Amino acid sequence: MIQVKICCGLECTARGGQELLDTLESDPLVLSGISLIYEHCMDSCRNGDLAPVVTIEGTMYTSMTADRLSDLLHERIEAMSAIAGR
Amino acid sequence: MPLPDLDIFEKLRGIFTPVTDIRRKVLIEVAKMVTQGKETDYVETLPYTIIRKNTPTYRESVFRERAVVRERVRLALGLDLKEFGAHAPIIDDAGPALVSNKVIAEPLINIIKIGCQQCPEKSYFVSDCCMGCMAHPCVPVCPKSAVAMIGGKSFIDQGLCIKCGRCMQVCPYGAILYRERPCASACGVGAIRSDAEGFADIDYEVCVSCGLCIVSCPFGAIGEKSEIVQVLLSIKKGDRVYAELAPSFVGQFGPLVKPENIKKALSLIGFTGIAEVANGADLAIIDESRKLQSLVADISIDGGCAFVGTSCCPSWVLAARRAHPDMARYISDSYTPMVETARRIKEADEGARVVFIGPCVSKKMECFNPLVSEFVDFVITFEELAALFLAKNVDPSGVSEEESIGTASAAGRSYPVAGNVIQAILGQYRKNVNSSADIPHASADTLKDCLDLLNKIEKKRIVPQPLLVAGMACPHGCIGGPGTLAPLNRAKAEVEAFAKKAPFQLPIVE
Repeated sequence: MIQVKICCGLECTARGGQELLDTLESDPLVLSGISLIYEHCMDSCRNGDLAPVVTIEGTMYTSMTADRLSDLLHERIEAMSAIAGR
Repeated sequence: MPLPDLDIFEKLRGIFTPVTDIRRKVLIEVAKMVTQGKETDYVETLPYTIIRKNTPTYRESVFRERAVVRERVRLALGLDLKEFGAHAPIIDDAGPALVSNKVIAEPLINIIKIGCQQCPEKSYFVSDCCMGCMAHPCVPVCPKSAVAMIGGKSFIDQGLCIKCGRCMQVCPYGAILYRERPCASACGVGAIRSDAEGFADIDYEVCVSCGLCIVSCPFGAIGEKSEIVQVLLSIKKGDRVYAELAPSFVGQFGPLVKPENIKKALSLIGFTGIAEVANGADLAIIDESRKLQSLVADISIDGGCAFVGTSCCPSWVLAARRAHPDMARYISDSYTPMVETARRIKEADEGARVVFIGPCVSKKMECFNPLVSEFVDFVITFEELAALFLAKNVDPSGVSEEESIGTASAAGRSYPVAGNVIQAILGQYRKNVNSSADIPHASADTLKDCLDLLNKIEKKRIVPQPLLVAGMACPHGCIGGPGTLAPLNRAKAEVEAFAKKAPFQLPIVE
């Protein structure tokens, strides 16, 4: 399972975080391949125009958009499936 | 399988777009300006704070981007927009807005002309998908000979086209498309037209301030006036400011925020007390169920044409009164849940100032009525409340929980979801009369559907005649309001979960 943490602080929530959650939770393939954690404010967005913030397996991504997040996760899930199939 | 087409209201909802981002940034920066006690002339720097890059991001020119932001700043301060083209530094007008009293005046909803893209009002046009087929049925079906084959492709003469749509209907390739200006398409009462230059224009005699045009314009060229500045200044001044929270507040501020967190967060930004508008909804349920009871006791009123129309959505009430003045008397005169709740707050604390916080733009319009503004001092949306939290550096997800937020019934807490208003009133009615009898009823959400429903009732096309009629201007109910932060499905799930925790299913009659 890929660990995905979505910042649920207000800045990230108001700047597209809710829509990221909505995208993940409405995609069964993604949902089955990740462990989704609602994270309290990661305090990262205050250093500039960086919200919403997401971490995937510990790597932080800023100014995340729904389509970019979906692409990133689909890529990883497909790669993991390919490895598992070998 | 192609995905089903979405209603215009749904196309931009649940997607975070640059339009949403700019709208929220303006509110946050204006709120910060007030909380940080900046000098009035700071207001002129806001377009540069919000649009930092000197190259355009969204439009053809950064000057236009900043001009749109400047207009949004005016609206965030509660000011009127100046005539398009007029030299209008915000600082010239900002002073009177930086007060702790109500300043906003009609018109509430405004077209930001500099942002308007002058979209074509309505047109059928031929796309690149036209195969120039041998049959070209688009040509013979046109009753005005507006369609011809030119250069091997179908062509529509816009001067002759009467927009009947037959060509689109018969094209085997789906190559003919219909395009309508999104703001006008979202307007359920037909209030948006074009001015002489082709910019969108609102007919305020027709507009009922539902605000759906605001969230449907893909260029962010429509906005409503805000009262965030005056609310913040009222708190700063030391007024006893109470928040009354519309029942759709749950889930709006993210999955980690419980209703009890919101209560604490509001107190941290200076609110004296918090009340659930669902308590006011309970009173409206009781009142309207009694009206229904009286009607059922004598269904011969007006030759059997009478019904009880719900009163909670001011845009629905106004639209119904204008379109069907003959039926207006059937709309309940009960206080709306917002007013009921505010009235109780002011009964308990005479010097209180009440801020309604909800998903509605329409409630701002309701407060232009002096009978309402007597009880409700200000109205802000959830989106505007988020700006206040961020400006005050208060994150509801990070504050401790307080005691329970209120004691409203499940029926009152369910009010913001379409269909639930009618179920609540029917449930209360059945309780009143101690019977499980079914009462003919009908409900609609979106103004277009509400007015269609009234037309059908007037023409007696609904059998049996409904005795209870509920209307809501926003799609899926208040959870689809223009001032919301949460996507619809999340909001609905959270509202229903919170309703389940209510101490009572139906209101307790005092």
